Amino acid sequence: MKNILKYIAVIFVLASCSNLEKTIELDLEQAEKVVVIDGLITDELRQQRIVVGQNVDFYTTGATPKLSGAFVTVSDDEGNTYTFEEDSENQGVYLSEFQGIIGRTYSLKVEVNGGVYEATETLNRVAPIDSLGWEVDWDEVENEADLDSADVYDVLIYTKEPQDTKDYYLFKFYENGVIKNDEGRDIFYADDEYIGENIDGLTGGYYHKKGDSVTVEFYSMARSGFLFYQDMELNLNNDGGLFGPIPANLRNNISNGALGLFQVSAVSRKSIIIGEE
Amino acid sequence: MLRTLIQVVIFLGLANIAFSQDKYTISGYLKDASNAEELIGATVFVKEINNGVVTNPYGFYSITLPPGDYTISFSYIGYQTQSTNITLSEDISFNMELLEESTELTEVVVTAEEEDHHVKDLSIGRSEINIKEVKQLPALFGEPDIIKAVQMQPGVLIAGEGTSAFFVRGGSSDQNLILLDEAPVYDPSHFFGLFSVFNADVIKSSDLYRGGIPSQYGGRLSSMLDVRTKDGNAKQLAGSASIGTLASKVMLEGPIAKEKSSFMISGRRSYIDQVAKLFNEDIPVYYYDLNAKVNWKPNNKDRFFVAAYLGRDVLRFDGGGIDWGNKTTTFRWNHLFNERMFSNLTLAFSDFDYGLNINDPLEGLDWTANMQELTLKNDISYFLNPKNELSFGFQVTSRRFSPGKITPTGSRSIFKPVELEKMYAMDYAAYIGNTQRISEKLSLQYGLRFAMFQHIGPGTVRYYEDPQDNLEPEIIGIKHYEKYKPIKTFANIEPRFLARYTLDKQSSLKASYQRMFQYVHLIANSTVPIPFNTWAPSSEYLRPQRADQVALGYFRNLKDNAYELSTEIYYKDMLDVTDFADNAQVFFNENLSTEYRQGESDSYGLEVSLRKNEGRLTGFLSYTYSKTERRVPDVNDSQPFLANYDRRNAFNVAATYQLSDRKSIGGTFTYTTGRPITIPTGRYEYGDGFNLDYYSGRNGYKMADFHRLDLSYNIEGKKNHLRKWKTSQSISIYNVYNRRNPFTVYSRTKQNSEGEIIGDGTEKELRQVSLFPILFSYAFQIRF
Repeated sequence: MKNILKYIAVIFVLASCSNLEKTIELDLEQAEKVVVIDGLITDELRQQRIVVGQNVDFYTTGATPKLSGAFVTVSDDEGNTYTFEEDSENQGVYLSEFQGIIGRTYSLKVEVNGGVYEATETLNRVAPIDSLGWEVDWDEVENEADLDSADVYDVLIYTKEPQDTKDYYLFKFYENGVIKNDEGRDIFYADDEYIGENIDGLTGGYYHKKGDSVTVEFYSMARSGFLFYQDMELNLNNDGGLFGPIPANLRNNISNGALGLFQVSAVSRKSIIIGEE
Repeated sequence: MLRTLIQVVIFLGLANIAFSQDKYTISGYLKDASNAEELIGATVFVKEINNGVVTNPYGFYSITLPPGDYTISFSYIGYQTQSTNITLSEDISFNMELLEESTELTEVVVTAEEEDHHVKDLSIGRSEINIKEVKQLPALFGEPDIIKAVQMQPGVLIAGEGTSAFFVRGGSSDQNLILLDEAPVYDPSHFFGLFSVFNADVIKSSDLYRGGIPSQYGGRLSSMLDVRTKDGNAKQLAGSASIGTLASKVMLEGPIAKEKSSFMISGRRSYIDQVAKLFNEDIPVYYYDLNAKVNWKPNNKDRFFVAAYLGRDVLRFDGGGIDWGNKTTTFRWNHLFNERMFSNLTLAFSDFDYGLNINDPLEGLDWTANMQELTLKNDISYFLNPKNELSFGFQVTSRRFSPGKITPTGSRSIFKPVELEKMYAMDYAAYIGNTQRISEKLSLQYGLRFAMFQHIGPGTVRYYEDPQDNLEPEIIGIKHYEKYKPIKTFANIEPRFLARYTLDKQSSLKASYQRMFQYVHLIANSTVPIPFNTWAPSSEYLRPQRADQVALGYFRNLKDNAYELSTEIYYKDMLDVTDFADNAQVFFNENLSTEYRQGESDSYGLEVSLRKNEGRLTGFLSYTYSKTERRVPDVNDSQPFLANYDRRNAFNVAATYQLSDRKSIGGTFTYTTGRPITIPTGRYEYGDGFNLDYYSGRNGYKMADFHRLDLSYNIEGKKNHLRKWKTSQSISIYNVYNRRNPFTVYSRTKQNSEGEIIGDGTEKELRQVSLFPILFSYAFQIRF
């Protein structure tokens, strides 16, 4: 019996010592160049923003190219058309100031490098955030001092999910004005398919420390947005298709094979200072 | 088709005339002399007619001959051949018991003519998995596993080591019919595939059919793995206990009424969770299996068997857990109507279920899903004369699919209770087949299987404007069906054909054609299924899958039957293979049918295998060259792509060498071409710093080649006839030269070893994951 335990111990040691993951270099073909559109229209009066760019080869580093000289318009189903002007300081970023209206349908048209890309989406209402709260997650606390200086606080969300409509949400969390998404690795999104009406104290995505100003945003989305973020999660967290689905490009609402999404959202937003009643 | 049927009927009539002549039958059971276990597939050879038969899956044989004196020999691999002289002047019931060959080495092996079984046998594309051999070969974590042996057979490919999925002749892993005592096992894996559900200590026989499947079986396109457990020692109480590296098991068998009734019961449990506790680690993962069997043989005409299997995997984590498992129960009644007519009636129940639970006041839930089936079938063999053996029967199966139910458990749960609608299906099949000896050289096996599959009520069908629009599914109609009301019916005929032509004493040519239909589909869009995948019946938007396969083989025995060589080529054409749209949501999807994509699959291959059954060195060598390509509308832009499990070359060797009568060494070596993988060719930025992959197509790249050597050393305890206990030990080394074989490759934004993103977060990298480094394991067994 003693021998057996010794063998087992050896196996555990071997398994834990060995490095079973490594970076490999593959000789990849060149990716065909595809237009990427990152568009967001909200129900807030602001500079609405459409970014037009392009993909690059897998191993190419640095910011991906943004495309200048595009002709970008958004029109609604009431006959209003907004022409977007390219930001003089940011190449490929097109801006137009207006306020989206809940219930209206918006159509995007981007003409660039000889291609025309179109998308149409309706601006849906969003569940208002009733209030935010905070609490200590005692599992995270190791000593008394953590309460003052460590990330041990959960932010709590209170809201009512309207049960009469089919809704899709994107959630964003900010800490002291800076978005938190683990450097582009976390996405928070949901549909309401299996969600009941009362959301009482749902915890946010991150731990915060005392004195942090935390902002939570709800964005309404169309189903296309929900699928886009669902696919994005697979794209970012795929296992190569062994136990998970075979990786693929994200589905979206833009025509002519462009990547990206034309997102049209109502926004609800609340902020709280952790530690303040 | 009708004409063939008429021919069969005419033939039946003719056969009856032939049969009315003066002929007598010798029939009976072949058994192991030590424990009275029936021997399956053993040869009964009649010298005077230079021909013979093999025992059926219940150990029964029957030969009808003109009156006269005959020398009949009974042989089985690993057993001493027995001969007897018989004067046939009336019907004779003759049971024979064979003694196991002693492990002491006999230098001279007497090879009787009948040992060219391999050449003469009317089977193609079939591999017998020798359980004794499996136990001597290196075992991962000291757990001998027949699925690992199946994965080394010619024509069989794997997606990666440490998985129980296998891919036969271009078919996907859900196209294998895996039977445990005739009850289907829907998920044969423990620990996500590290081990299979088959406990090596209770297995009597296992056969893999890659082709040449008799008309008795149907329902899956690509293969059948027929696993049968021991009946239990009918002569004396016996048992064994084994301790492996990750699991231990006990087995007890013995007579209830001597030679009339016996039982077998066995349990196995992994104890990594218990061992981890010794090291103050918390690994709350375990599995267990229970096998039990009782049989009763009141007379030579009737035999009753009840077999049950229960297996479960449990994995606990912080705040919840998951569990899954199979349950099967089989009741069988063998009845001899007369010396020539053998009947088997089977009632089999099978259940697969899984559950997930999360304990949390807000996000707490229970998620369960299962599938169940109940089958009644009757198979009759009619041994007309030495030239013809008729088989016919029917099968009725009822299935229930429960794809998912969510029950909120938290006091302030944000979830609401939801249940996806259950689906019901009935499956009816009838078949008739004949094994016919045309001449000494030519033998045929042919048959027809008629199958009807119905998706029945209660149920609701949603009709879609565009059934494949998974972006914005638009329902244009809903229809409810009452209980038992047919919703969608499919009916098909499956012809099967097999021929063997003996070229000379050492060699034969074999050919086969088979058409198979599959009516149940695994809902999985990964390469290797996981226990959370559900199954769905063919229905309004899911057509049955169809496969046509032709195979040609050359079989030869070398050096006085010491070596068996087989070479086969096959071509398999599949229609309506089930695939899924890119990024399909296969879990808890109300509009699941909009994710289905069905298309074609073509595969062809060459298989060579060489086996040596006698001498100090035994084992096999297999080589497969194959290619499988799919063409599915809407997947990979409707362009052809290589199947996920496609590997051009696969080479396997498994051998054991008897050092002395107590000591042996075993070794296995595997080499396969890397499997296809989908790798991004580009990247792009979106939104709040998301660095996304851009894909040019599916399965456009290949992983590195896979190769691995494993070794084992086995020691049997000292032979001493006074001792009641016998022990054996084995040491295995897995992945001897510690190669980092690719398991999968994924992409990510470049990170350091702490998981922090390096640089400006725009650089991406490909990561290759390996599963096992060199592993040592030890197993100890004690038997009485």
